[in-house]
Amino acid sequence: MKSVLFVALFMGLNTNAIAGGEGRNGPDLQGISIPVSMDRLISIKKIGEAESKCLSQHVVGPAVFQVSGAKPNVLVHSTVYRQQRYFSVSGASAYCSDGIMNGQSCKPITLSGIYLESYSFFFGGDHRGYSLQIRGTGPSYELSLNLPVFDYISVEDVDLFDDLGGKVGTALRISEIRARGEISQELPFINKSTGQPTAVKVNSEAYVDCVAAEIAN
Amino acid sequence: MKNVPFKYLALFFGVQLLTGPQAFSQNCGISELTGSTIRERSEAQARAYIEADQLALQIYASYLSGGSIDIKKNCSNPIYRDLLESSLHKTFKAETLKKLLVSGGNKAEFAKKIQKKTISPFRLTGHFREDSPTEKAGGFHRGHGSIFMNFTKIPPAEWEIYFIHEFAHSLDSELLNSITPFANVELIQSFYTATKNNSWSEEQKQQLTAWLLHGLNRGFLAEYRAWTVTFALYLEGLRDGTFKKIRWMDDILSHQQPGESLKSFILRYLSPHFTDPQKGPFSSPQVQESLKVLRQELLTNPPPLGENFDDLYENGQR
Repeated sequence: MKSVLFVALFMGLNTNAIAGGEGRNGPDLQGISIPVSMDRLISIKKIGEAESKCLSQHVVGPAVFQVSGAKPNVLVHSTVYRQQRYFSVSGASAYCSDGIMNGQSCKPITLSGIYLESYSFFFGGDHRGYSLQIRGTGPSYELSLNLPVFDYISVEDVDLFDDLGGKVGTALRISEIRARGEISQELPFINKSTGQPTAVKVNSEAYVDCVAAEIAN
Repeated sequence: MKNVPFKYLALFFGVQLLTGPQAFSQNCGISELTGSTIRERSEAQARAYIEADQLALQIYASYLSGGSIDIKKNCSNPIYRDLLESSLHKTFKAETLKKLLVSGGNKAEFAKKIQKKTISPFRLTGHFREDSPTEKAGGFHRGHGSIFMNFTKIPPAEWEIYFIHEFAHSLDSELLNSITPFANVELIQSFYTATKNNSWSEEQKQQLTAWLLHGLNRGFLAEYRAWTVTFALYLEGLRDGTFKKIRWMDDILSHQQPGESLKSFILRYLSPHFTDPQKGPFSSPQVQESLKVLRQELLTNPPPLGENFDDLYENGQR
């Protein structure tokens, strides 16, 4: 029994171990010659949280501010799914109604020449790209964004189980992280119908740096 | 773990370094995001990033020179705090790499190797949130290759040394290549069975030695490689004036014997400080004995430092 328990811990098939911060080398001048604790993996959930936070902070929040003047706490809902080797996050919305958006004041805007007091944002994306829809009563805009998409090159997949043997998720050991897409300090949204760059710009370099920093947490 | 003589538990930076009349208001010293048109607000957003980068640069410079202001108290608005935080991660890494590149020699070659990696997950900790994943001053995560560095636990004069050490782990091909083979459950189970039956075949003994080497590559030998590179670049930095003398590093180097190579010395110095595990498969006398023999062989013939470090090391010895 003892050996079975050891192997389970050793391989990381234990959520407590995942959360325990093990698996690190540091500036050590002394220690155990062979660390027997598991090499903590990164969960898909964690990747989703990192991307969601950074999309909210560096993409959706700034875009909503630039269009509406409001600085609401926009949260991207992390619907994370796996397609081959990459993951994507989708889903954020914000509604400007009666001059208020998520508790912040928002300004009327003009869409297609129509003055609007109320309007809404829908932000979404997958591995092919991201888009922001601005909808009013009647007119609407769809803006696309060539935001970098991350490839998490995995060398190992491990199913995670709780103490009663229930599957609680999947974790990865990552050999490399790559970003595909344009990394720029001022990346413009493109109007989908005209193909023209808009004045709404995001800092995709900051977005990439943010994801790298969140994963390292 | 080395005892870091630490007097930087609080973050203090010089007020005089801050920009704007509202220097370090709740907006962290970043201009208010405002504008009456989309274009104006777009420009304000871009300006905020630039100001955050400038501020992060000032904080980096102030940290290295020991300035003072508590940024936790003066940066309460989360929008601006997040902007500054993102800039801090980026700036501390980019500026350190820049310094190593400008310094030339093997330090520059080392920095170029880091830059070759598409994305190196790096997180500066110690500001705003107490979010370091461990109590250490820094760490490299074997599972997903990320690095954190808590600058409140690192004396400014030693920042680049810790940086080199952590990034050395991230470039350590031997460490990364040993993780999967070491986690071979079937192999570990076969060692348990052999121990239980007190019957080890020659093939199993060879497999055990290889497995133990993978294990050492994750621990003791990973530190041997990272410290050898760290000390080699430290010595180069002392020679060309990039680094100032660090007492605890010089104390360690004082134990190097005449004619002893740096990597032989580091291996010999670290070895007695790294004890062998005793639990799980390591409770087996056969495993313990094999590990003892293997470590003795390694002491006699220090292993290569791996594809990313051998050239740096050899260049430094010339």
